[in-house]
Amino acid sequence: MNCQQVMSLLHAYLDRELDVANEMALENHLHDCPGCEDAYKLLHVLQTRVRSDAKYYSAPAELRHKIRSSLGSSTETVRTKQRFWSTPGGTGSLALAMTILLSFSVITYERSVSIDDQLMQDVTSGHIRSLMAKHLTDVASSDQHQIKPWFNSKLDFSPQVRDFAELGYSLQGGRLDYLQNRIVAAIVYKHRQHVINLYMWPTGDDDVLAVSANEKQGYHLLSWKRHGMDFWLVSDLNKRELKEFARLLQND
Amino acid sequence: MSADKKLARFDALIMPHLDAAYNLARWLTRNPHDADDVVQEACTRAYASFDSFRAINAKAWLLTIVRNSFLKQIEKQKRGGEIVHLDVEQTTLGDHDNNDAYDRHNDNPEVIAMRQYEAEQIHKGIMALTDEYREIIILREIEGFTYHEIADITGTPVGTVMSRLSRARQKLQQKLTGIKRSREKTQ
Repeated sequence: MNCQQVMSLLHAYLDRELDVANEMALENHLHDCPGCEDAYKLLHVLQTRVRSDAKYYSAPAELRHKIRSSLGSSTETVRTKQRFWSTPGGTGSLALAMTILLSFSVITYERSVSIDDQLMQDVTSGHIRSLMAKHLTDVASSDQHQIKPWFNSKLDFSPQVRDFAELGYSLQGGRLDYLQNRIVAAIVYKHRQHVINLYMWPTGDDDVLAVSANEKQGYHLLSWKRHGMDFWLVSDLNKRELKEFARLLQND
Repeated sequence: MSADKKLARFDALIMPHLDAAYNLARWLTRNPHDADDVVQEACTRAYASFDSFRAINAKAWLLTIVRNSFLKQIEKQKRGGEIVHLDVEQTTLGDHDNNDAYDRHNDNPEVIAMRQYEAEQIHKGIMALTDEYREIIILREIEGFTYHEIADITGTPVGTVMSRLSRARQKLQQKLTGIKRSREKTQ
């Protein structure tokens, strides 16, 4: 490959869009040609800066709400609500219901904090261990049909294993880990260069908890409960994308 | 599909990408007011054609519609002589979602100030690109789409995506070096 060819493929190389043969040929050339290597480094710096510095605009909550209610003006629910509000005493009982609901959620929240703090620490440690010990996966595969049977032979539950490579979250493999005094499934994904560990284990109750977000030692953690399972996501990936991934995982 | 089922499916598949839709719209329109309009219009259209939605990549599908809504908006503003919002926002970097890295690794105020300055330059540089170049930078670098996905979203061949992206980066690089030079001169 000569310099001119390299220059024409440099962006595709940067974006990891080249086939293996071209990628290797280009890498060899960069190794031997300081001029092209400089050009590549410049591009790489630019890309890194754009990715970390360009602002990400999340949808404002009001807009989300406005859109959601304009689509789902499921007239039935609106009407029921209105009727409830307008009945005599309706507001009163609603306020009472709210108070009960609120105090209940405060209690559950407080209870969960102490338990979850230890768990959060354990999840984070598990994640860090998996990165350091070069022991990210026990079974390395991007094929969910290979990972699932592997787990099934080692666990007393059947974890859901899905690949989201199409959406940028590619399945890397699976691993056994130890949390909450039990063996749990760790499913490993990668998004760009970021490793994501998804832990799951059965909780034995049917509680459904929405995603809660935390941060520990610079790692982002998301957790939720569903279908009698506890789920924990941990990664150094930014919170926004991790949340996006959590939403994907929750789509059945 | 029943209305409830459709809505539930829309919630599960499309709504998770609302942030991406807004981000693209916000970068394309360069102001929050128009971004709101574009995203609302796009969601209404997405919902209307959702029955025929078969794509694997819901995010790309939604962003295609966002893009088309943006183009429509420009057309309308041109035709109707509507007031184009020029309040292209001033860069405030305090509320960055995705630059957590800044917060932790160095506390030295000078380093922080320098990084903020550099981040601002990147932001301004992208904002100053033409629609076409700005769009491709956002789709590739911020949303992380592959060339094929960008080709689908923008309705252009992959080859065009590749060359447009390289030109966009060149332009951005030029703008950044330009800013740096003029800054050095004044110092």
